Amino acid sequence: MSFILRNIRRMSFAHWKSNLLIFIEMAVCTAIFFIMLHNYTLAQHTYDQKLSGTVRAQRVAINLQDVTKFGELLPGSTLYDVAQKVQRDILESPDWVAYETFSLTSIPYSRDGFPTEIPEEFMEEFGYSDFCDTLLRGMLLYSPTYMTQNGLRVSEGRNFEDADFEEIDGPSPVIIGSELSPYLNVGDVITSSNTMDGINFFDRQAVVIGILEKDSFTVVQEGDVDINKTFVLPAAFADQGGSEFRLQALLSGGVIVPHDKNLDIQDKLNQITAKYGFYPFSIQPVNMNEVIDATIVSQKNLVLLSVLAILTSSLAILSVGTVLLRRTRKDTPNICIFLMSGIPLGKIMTSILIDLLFWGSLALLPSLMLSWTEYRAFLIPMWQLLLFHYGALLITYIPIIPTLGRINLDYNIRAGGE
Amino acid sequence: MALIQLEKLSKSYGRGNKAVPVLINLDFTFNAGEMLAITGKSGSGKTTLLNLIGAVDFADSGRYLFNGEEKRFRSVSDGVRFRAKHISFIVQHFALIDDFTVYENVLMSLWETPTKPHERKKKVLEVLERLEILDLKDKYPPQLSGGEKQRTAIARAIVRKPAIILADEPTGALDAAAEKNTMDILKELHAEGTGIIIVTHDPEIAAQCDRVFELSKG
Ligand SMILES: Nc1ncnc2c1ncn2[C@@H]1O[C@H](COP(=O)(O)OP(=O)(O)OP(=O)(O)O)[C@@H](O)[C@H]1O
Ligand SMILES: [Mg+2]
Repeated sequence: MSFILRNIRRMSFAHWKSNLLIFIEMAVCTAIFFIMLHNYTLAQHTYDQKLSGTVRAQRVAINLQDVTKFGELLPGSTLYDVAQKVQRDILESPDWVAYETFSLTSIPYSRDGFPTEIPEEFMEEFGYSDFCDTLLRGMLLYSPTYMTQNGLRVSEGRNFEDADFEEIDGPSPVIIGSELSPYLNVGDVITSSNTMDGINFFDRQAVVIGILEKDSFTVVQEGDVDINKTFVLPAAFADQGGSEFRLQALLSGGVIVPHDKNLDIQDKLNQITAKYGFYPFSIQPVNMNEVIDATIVSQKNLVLLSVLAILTSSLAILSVGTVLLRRTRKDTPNICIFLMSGIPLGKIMTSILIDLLFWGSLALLPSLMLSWTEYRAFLIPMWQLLLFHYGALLITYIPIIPTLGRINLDYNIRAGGE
Repeated sequence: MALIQLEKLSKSYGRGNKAVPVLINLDFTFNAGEMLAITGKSGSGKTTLLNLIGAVDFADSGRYLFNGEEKRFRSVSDGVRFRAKHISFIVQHFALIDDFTVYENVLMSLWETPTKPHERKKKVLEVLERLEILDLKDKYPPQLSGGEKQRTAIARAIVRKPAIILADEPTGALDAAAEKNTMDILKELHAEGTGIIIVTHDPEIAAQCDRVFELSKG
């Protein structure tokens, strides 16, 4: 057995109290850091999932104050022409980005119209099963702006472009929710069938151009809408591409995202309606509260957790460092005996370092066990935990180096007898 | 040729105007295989000289020649390397590691030598046998008598067969019988060719040496 091993064994017995203290402190400190890191990772995940991109500024949905007036908006009427002017002003205003809300639709689905069988959970049950096997969830859009403004991105294929919303021959483009990706690929063509709500879907085709990113969702006044099981299509697919549908989708639930958060949107809208003598709008914030709360809470938590982690680790480093230094000072007579016997300082320092790393490594176990029993997996990036843990340990070792480097052998040997 | 030659060596403790000169322009020679006693009054600098010879401490000025070659010790590590090659120490208070067994305390001396592990073991056991402490090999120093501790310290000093053994009042803490035993061992080593320097203020011990080097204060 070499000197290093024997000395470590000696120190393990001789300094067991110090070692126990080092173990406990490092275990607690690393566990706290671990929990911090874990929460951080979770918060980060939530953040990525809910708040990705910078597009989700405060936004409002607009509606006619008197919703019964929609009945008067018949194509060809004077009011309809006025409404179209209002629509153009809203869409083209330099003060904001405006886009139409989506509408939901059901796509009659016949099993032979799809390349692959799609499981039940993707179906909407409306009891129309005598028309077709069942219905799929569809979301109709009027412009690609909806996708960009809601941070909806594709992980495969491409997103919508302006051209997709123009009159097109052949199959309509469709972007599918991520959960549908096992059943359909980019390029697959689906064929709808049967009649639904008076629309003849027979032989209507759509080609998959993209797959939405995982965990995509969109926000409406009522909250989040999960669109991972949904087919997203231009409204023309369900015969709703006409200008009257587009008008309605803007004036009733369309969304305005101001460039300047402090902009008085109501006032601007009043100016537009007054200009054309149109019915006034009311505005209502789109329910982003949940999301905003989540950001604030997680940001607060992150700051709090970071402060706590820095505080505990500083304290632990300070106290482990002190314990280690005191332990080494107490061991000076023995270290001097080693030096007298011709054992190099480097080896003595190495044995102290290895001893520290050994007890320090044991202190990792509680955190690893916590991770395993709690989550059945090492959820957090291991390297961060290890970097922190061993970084802290190495910092506590630093004061040892000058202390041993300055050792006065003559003085200590003379003091040996006392 | 002299094995160790110190020329105009000076050493003082403390700094600035608090500096206390202990050795001033000291010349000292030690021949290979010699048994030398260093004597002098208490505080005359015997331990200081011995520590300078063993590179435990460093002189302020003067030259240190070992085998005709000038040595410049600057750090603890220089001293460690030098001792590992040539010199063993025996001190009055034994300087044993209390948490090591007698066996390990002796083995310590061989760790930095190129000896193979099984040879180390053989050598240690031989030396323990020779000093009649083989049956104590698994005991710890606090369980030993003063004489047994000193024999352990001697075993540690001689196991790697150094050219010189430096002993600072090796019998100071021992009774008459143990003192005689220790001197017998040192004389035996001397007879085998090991150089020995003993610091002592006991004239009887000095008389047993080949030569006496007397330090006078200042
Ligand atoms: N670290 C130190 N700082 C200041 N003075 C010291 C130091 N070490 C030794 N001295 C002084 O140096 C002088 C010589 O000490 P040294 O130990 O060499 O004497 P010695 O001859 O061995 O004495 P003794 O026979 O009592 O052991 C003494 O006066 C002592 O007080
Ligand atoms: Mg002395």
